[in-house]
Amino acid sequence: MTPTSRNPDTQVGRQRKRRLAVRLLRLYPHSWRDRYGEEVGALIAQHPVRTRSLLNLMLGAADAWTHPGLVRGTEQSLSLRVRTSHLVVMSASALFTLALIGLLHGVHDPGPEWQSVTGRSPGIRSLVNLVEAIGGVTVLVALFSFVVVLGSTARQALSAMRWDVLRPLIGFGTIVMVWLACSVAVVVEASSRPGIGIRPLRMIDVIVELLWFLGTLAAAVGATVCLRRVLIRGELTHMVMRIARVTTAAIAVAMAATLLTTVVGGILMLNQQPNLLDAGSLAVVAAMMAVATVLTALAFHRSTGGYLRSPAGSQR
Amino acid sequence: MRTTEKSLGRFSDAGLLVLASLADGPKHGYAMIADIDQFSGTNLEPGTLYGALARLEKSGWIEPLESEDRRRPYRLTAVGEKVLRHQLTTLQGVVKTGTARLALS
Repeated sequence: MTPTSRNPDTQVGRQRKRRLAVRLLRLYPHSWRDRYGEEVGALIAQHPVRTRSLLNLMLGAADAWTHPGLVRGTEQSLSLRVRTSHLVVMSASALFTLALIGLLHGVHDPGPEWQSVTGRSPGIRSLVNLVEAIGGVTVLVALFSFVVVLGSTARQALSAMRWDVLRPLIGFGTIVMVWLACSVAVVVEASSRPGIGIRPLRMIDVIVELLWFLGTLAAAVGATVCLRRVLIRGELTHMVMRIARVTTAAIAVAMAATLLTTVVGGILMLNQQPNLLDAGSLAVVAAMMAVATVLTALAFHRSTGGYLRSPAGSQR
Repeated sequence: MRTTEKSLGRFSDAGLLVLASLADGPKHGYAMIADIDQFSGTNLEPGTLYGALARLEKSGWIEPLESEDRRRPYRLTAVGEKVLRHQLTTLQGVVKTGTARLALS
């Protein structure tokens, strides 16, 4: 029996699905289409296209994007893999931070409910302590790695007088310093508000907070653009790559742990005080955290896979 | 050998079917799908077929030939033939053991 004899679709339906299948090929990466696009197009013209064929093509596109080295001649260098992974981790961290800011300022913080539960159960208390310890260690590892990666790149750029690397590096440093100075100013301004306890916000406070938030967003975008240039143009040693891998793993673990405590805390809170707005806000925050966690885990998989397959990785 | 099989991931079954299909000579995508459907009853979809082809080509187990009217045939390499023989030997062992145990029970 040939594959065509099983197709029960009408001629019109078949043509429509065939056209859709050809359009789905646009979902594949450019390099993949250059290599296999014409063949698959010819195959689609002959092969009966069913709904599952369309789903299969979509899954194939996802597979092609997640395995860019499959097409011969397009394997990315290990260094580039690690650098692009680092950029993914930075973007994911920014998304996660945004979710955390949302959790602390825009959403009912499930912290008090957590405390009441952990106060009653020593087991949960120990678990929370463990998660907090992991988070603390991760922040230290991430900071250390960040300093090492940037320090190593800066040292090499300075010795070779690579201004194309040094310029964005200086830009990044300037943005961070300005942002830190502004943040300190905001904290000082907030502490100078008159009154005790919960103090009413003045118009100037609202303006300062809003400016700080917009400034933070602009600084995050500017810093990411500068870092992207530094990492793409700079040279990375294998030692730095190893550190980058450890950091990525640590960040992914910390994100997963925070996501877990947020979700569990949110459920506990909603059990005690059911509220649709809180539930919706928490769901958005948890979704952002989940996306950031998955992105970081994928970045770790990507950089680790490249490293383990490299000659340096196999010599360990 | 184990490592290279593992590198095919969820495409290992499709990969084996493609290798078996190419064992009697070069074929292009549509001919492989028809052949595999005939000898195994498995109807490979284009996404799965080309995912497996890309992996097999990258592993050096198959190689592309000159394109014929948008259709590119593939053939087994010497390494691919060796891998196919090894996998078939393993499968034969599984079949033999399973059959014997079923007969005993």
